[in-house]
Amino acid sequence: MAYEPALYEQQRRNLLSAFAQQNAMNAYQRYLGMTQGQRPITQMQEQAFSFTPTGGLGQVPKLTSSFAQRGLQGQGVKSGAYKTALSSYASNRARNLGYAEQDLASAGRGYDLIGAGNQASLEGGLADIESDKARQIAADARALLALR
Amino acid sequence: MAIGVVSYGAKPIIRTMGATGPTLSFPDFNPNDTDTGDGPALTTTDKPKTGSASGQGALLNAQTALKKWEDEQERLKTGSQAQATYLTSQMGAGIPQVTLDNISGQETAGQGYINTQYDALLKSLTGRRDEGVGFTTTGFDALKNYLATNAPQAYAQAQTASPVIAQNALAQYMANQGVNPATVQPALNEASAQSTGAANNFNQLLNVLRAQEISGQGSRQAEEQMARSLGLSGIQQTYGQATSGLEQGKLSALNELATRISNARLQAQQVQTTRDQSLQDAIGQLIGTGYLGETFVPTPSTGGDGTGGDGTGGDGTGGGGTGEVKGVVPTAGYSIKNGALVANLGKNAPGADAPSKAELAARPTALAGVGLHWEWNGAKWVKVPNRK
Repeated sequence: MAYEPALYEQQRRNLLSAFAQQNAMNAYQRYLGMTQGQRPITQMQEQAFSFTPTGGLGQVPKLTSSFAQRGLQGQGVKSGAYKTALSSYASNRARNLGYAEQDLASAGRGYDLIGAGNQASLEGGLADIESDKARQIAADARALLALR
Repeated sequence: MAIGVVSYGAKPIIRTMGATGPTLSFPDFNPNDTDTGDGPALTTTDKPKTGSASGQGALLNAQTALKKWEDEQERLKTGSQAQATYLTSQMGAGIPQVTLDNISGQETAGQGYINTQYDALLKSLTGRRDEGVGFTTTGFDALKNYLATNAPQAYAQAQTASPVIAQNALAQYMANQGVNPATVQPALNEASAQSTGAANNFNQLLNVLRAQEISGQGSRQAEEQMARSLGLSGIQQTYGQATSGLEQGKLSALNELATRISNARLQAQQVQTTRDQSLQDAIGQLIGTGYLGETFVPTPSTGGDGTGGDGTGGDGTGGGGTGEVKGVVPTAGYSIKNGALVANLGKNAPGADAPSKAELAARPTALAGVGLHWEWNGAKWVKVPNRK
């Protein structure tokens, strides 16, 4: 097969097109993953604090109101049960929130890794094309010499 | 005559022939008989019947015929000697220089043509090899530059993972409520530890991939070098094969040319040998006529140096070198005497050499007599009986 630049350009276009499609799909899946990962974090934040009318978190956790209704918490009332419950709640919340954020970050890294892999495949494919071109040129040069 | 047919008055015609005068005869007359040298003997077989005047006329006629015959013999002898001299000079002339020059010219021209063709083909082949080397070098240089300027950086540029540090968003509230925020710290530590472990694992994975990326780049560069060497060596191999083919073709052509030239020289030599043989045969025939004398020795041209024969031809001056004709084999009618080629002329008068030209001229013009003829005995002309 004689050297044909158009053929290599075709291969290059195919590589770039496949890379673009895979990257787009990866980005879309990354978006879905981030959305899915962000949801439990938001839920945990909502469970701790009520939202303000403007959408922001409130200053008082929901936990406080239930203890207040039972007279275990309020102005000048600081029961041991409340303190224990608050400490336990805060610990669980911190742990779960940390796990959720970790999961979200890990999912994001996974998609980043897929993107890097796609990029590496593209770079390798392009280098392969260049290598094939050089080899084909050498083979053609030898064939031309052999024709005499 | 048929039966019943009768001829009347038929008589045979009788014609009386008159006298025809004297008749001259030359019993021993032989124009080619040169051994006696005395010419024919004049004899009469009938006496003239018309008187003495007729006898005188017959004698005059005989003398005139004799003189004519002698002149003819002299002319034949002179011509034969000149012819023998010319033919002899042509012997051993060797291959004409024109022919040798022509053959040598063809050889030189053929060699020149072969060398020219070989040089042209080799030059063309070398040019194509240089082009091939240029293409190959250019192609692999482009690959080398591409690899250098497009080094893979997908993993090198990938973002390194950082651990997510868990935060206690309720710390201040807990403090306000009189609850120690430090009680949450173990949970924070647990979450942070897991996050740190995950980040480290990811970063290690990235490191492996980055190392593989760098290794891949080195492999590609090495591959470029190997492919370049392979391409160039392949071109050199093809060039070597083609050059070998050219050399072989050149040697074959030169060999064929040498064979043709050798054949041409052999053929020219053969032609010359045949010509010499023909000359010897011709000289032999001349000697056989007897006009050259018994001891005629062909003195062939001592040429052979090939300087004669300038192509103008016909002057008979060719040859004349200082060479020597060798291997003269006597043909039929010849023999070698004292190293010289001598014609076998048969008998000769006992003890008598052939008369010289002056002696021939001094031969008596008078008739020797009936049954006699003049013969040279080595000292003088004497009358001897005709031999039967």
